[in-house]
Amino acid sequence: MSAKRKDGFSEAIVGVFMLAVLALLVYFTIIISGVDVIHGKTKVYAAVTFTDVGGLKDKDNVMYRGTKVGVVDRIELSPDALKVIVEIDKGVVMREGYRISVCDLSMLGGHYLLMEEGEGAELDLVTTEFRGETPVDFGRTISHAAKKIDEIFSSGKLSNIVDRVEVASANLAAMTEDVRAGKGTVGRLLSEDEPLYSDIRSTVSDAKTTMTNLAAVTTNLREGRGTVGKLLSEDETVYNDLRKTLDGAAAVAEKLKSGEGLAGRLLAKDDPLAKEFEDAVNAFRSASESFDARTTLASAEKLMDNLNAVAERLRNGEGTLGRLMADDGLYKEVDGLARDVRQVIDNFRDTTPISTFGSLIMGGL
Amino acid sequence: MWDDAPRSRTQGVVRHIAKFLSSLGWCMHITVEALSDFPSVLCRREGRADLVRQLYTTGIRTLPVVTVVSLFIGMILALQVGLELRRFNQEIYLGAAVMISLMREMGPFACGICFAACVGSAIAAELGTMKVNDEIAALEIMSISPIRFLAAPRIMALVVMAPLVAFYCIVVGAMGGGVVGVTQLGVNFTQYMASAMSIADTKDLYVGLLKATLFGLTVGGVSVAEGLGTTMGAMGVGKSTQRSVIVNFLLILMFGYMVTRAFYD
Repeated sequence: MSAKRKDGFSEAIVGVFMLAVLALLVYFTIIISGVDVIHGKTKVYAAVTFTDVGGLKDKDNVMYRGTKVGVVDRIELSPDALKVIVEIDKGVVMREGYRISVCDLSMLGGHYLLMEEGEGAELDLVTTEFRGETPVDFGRTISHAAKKIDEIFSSGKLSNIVDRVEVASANLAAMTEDVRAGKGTVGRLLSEDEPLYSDIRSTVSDAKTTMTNLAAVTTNLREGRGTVGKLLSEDETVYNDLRKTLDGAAAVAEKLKSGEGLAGRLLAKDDPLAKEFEDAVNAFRSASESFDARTTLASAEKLMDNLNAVAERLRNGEGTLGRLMADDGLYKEVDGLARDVRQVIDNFRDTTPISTFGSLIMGGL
Repeated sequence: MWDDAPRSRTQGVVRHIAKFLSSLGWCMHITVEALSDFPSVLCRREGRADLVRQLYTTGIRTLPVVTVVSLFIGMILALQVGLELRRFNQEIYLGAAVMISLMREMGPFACGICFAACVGSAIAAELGTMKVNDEIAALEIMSISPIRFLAAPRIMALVVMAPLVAFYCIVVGAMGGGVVGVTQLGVNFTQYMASAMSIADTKDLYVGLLKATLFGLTVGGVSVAEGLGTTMGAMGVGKSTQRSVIVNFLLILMFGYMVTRAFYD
């Protein structure tokens, strides 16, 4: 191979290599820039304003509907907020009511920006100034809690709390001791106290019976048994009866109103019978007004006093009637007299035939 | 200037510092002059031909080494990172981890060390040999600037090829990581590539390529300076070659850190 041909070969190889690598470099650049050569640029920039980004950094992923749609391009510091510029697919749809938040990637660290779509009207990604939610910083929260605990320790509040806890603990120990000893209601409940157990069991049994009865009543009501049940049921018999009764009452009232019948006539003002009845009532009222209730009451009181005095004397055995009531000797004498009289009569009855026969004999003689 | 032996240790240290600063100044002088000669290289027909030859030597000839190095760098990265990610059941992020490592650091670094080892050492040895054989002196006698004639095409070829080869390293390394992910870690290749592309960023890519360009310029400048500064015959050529590789490695690491520090805070 001549030197000229060798140079030509070298030039060709170098040219091919450089061209290939440069082409690959251009393609690689296009790919990682997120540019679709056929359809044009597929990424757009959106701005999200935060008061705190919680450690979000450049190149952190942007997630939407559970998939990566872009990256954080840069974070700009403004006087009152942080503006996060994200480079995302232009197919991302954000609506009113959206949520944008910074989330932890894993326990080992890292963050990503979560974009949640919302449900309202669609918003333009480029022109809308999105607002992000301030993330919860667990480290800062724990640090704050630790600071508070430190303040409690240093201010001596903890010793007071401990003292109170000790007192509460002692009280609790005493209570448990009482319970173990069977003192108090709870203690008796927890101990082997049969009567209390029996009482409770009886009460529970009664309650169960009551509930059973109640269940039966409700069952009856539900099934339309009894008056109330029938009233509550869809059986229209009772309703119809009640309706008839009310109709009858209405008819009676109507008759009374129209002055029919005795009661109606009595209620009617222009009826002669009502006039007579009214006169009779007035006469009775005047008679009752003439009656001196006070005098009558005084007489009754006097009569009652006399009766009380008589009853007192009788109880004391005064007078014949009192002695009869108080002394049983008279009763015994009367009883003996009655016996004697009965004996005399018996004797007379027995001797009457003999005396009669004797009289006859003696008379005949 | 400093041919006599140092009288004390302090004087020896001072001489070493002075030599280092002198070498640094010489290197900067060569590099700046070569950069200023880039237009003349492109304007001359011979210059362009020489540039193509240097591009072929620098880029195409090193591709086998670069391929193996970057492939295994990607595989090692994937294996090491993947095993740790598997402990947390996070293998899906393997592609992202490998890609970001390659783009930011390992791709340019692999390119830099390959250039330093393959191209830089060859330049230092070639120019050193020319120096000890007085070919450089002959060029100067003919009023031909050795920097414009010898150094500029080589440095320019390194500067041009470095970012391309670095990008090639990134691609091959990512493929190597994918192979390990699929065969040893059970990661789906599509998922691996999706993860890798999700983390890829133009800033990372172009900062990495800028770093590679800087490495190319460093390797070219140091190697040319060491070659042109060769003394003491064949032994001096060996020492220059060795020194160029060591200095290139050190500068690649230092500049790598500085660029990273400059762009990522």
